[in-house]
Amino acid sequence: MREVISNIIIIISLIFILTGVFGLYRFRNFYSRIAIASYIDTAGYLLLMLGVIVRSGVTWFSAKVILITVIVVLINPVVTHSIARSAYHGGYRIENEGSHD
Amino acid sequence: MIEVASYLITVLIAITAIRIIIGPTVWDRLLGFNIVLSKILMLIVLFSMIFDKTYLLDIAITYALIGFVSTLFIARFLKDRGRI
Amino acid sequence: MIEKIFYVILIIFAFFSVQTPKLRRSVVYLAVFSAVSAFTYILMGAPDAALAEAVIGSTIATVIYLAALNKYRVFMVYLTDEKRERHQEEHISRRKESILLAIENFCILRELEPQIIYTVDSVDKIKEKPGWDLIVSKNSGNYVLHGREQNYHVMALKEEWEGKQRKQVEFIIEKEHE
Repeated sequence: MREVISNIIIIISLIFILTGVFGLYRFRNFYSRIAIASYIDTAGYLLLMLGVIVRSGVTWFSAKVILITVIVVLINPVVTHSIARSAYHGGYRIENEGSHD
Repeated sequence: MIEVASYLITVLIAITAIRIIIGPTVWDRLLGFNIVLSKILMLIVLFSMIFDKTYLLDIAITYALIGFVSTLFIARFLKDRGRI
Repeated sequence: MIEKIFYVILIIFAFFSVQTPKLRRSVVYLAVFSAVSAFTYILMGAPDAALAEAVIGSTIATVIYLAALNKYRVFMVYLTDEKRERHQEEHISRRKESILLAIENFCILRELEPQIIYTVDSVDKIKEKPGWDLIVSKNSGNYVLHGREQNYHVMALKEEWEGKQRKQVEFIIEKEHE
């Protein structure tokens, strides 16, 4: 029973991760790419770890996985923000802010 | 299912590597590097589940705690025009 | 099977990190190389080596490379196009502007590290920021290059290109304020 639930969660997370990598090639703008890829990557990571925890049960293994997940959820947005900030303050603009299309 | 997931993530790392190589600007390369890092972190957790070796997770903790430093330094290097 | 894919990725990144002409690209490639090789050590059954590689190769080596690149002077080139609303992605990836290739060749000869930034800001707005070396703006097919007099690399570029009688290139040099 636990294995079936964890398999379903892992399949959903794989769909998320696949969509994130597809978004790296789909968009023509760097800022869209970084937004989409980082959001979906973090969501897929959370779901995958949830699937692993459900499969493993209440053990020391799950405790370590929870620790890794907390670290990644704290650090991943910081890194993405610093990349986008470096591009913006470095002067990389490929589109005027007034034009929306 | 876990084996299938590890195969799929390996293929996705190979696909992301293409973005690192063709990426028009250096920031695209950094984004690809960040994504490859998080994918490798997933793979380490999956492999420690497959092999049933808990000590592989210690490597994953070190990887998560220290892997982001290089990305942060390269981003600051590019922003401040050569000064770290 | 998984090991073989990772071996191919490792070879590709080792090749590109040696072959690329730009050093900052090479630093990113080497960071990816050591991150992937740390995982390959786990597949080979050496977790202790993987731990050392993750700490030393992926983090400390990158910081040391950047500190070494610090000694290498960075040459900031802004490419602006005030007429156009946006830069197309194809223009950026295919390097359609032939003047950029000439500038990169000049930088490689003089041991400078060119950093080319695409922007749509006007020339005056870029000049307010500190730390620009050369601004290339397009004016209906002609290129206008803005530089400062105290920057001797820009003056050397001007001398070299005026000797070659390059067409469609115009230099505007700012005098230093007393």
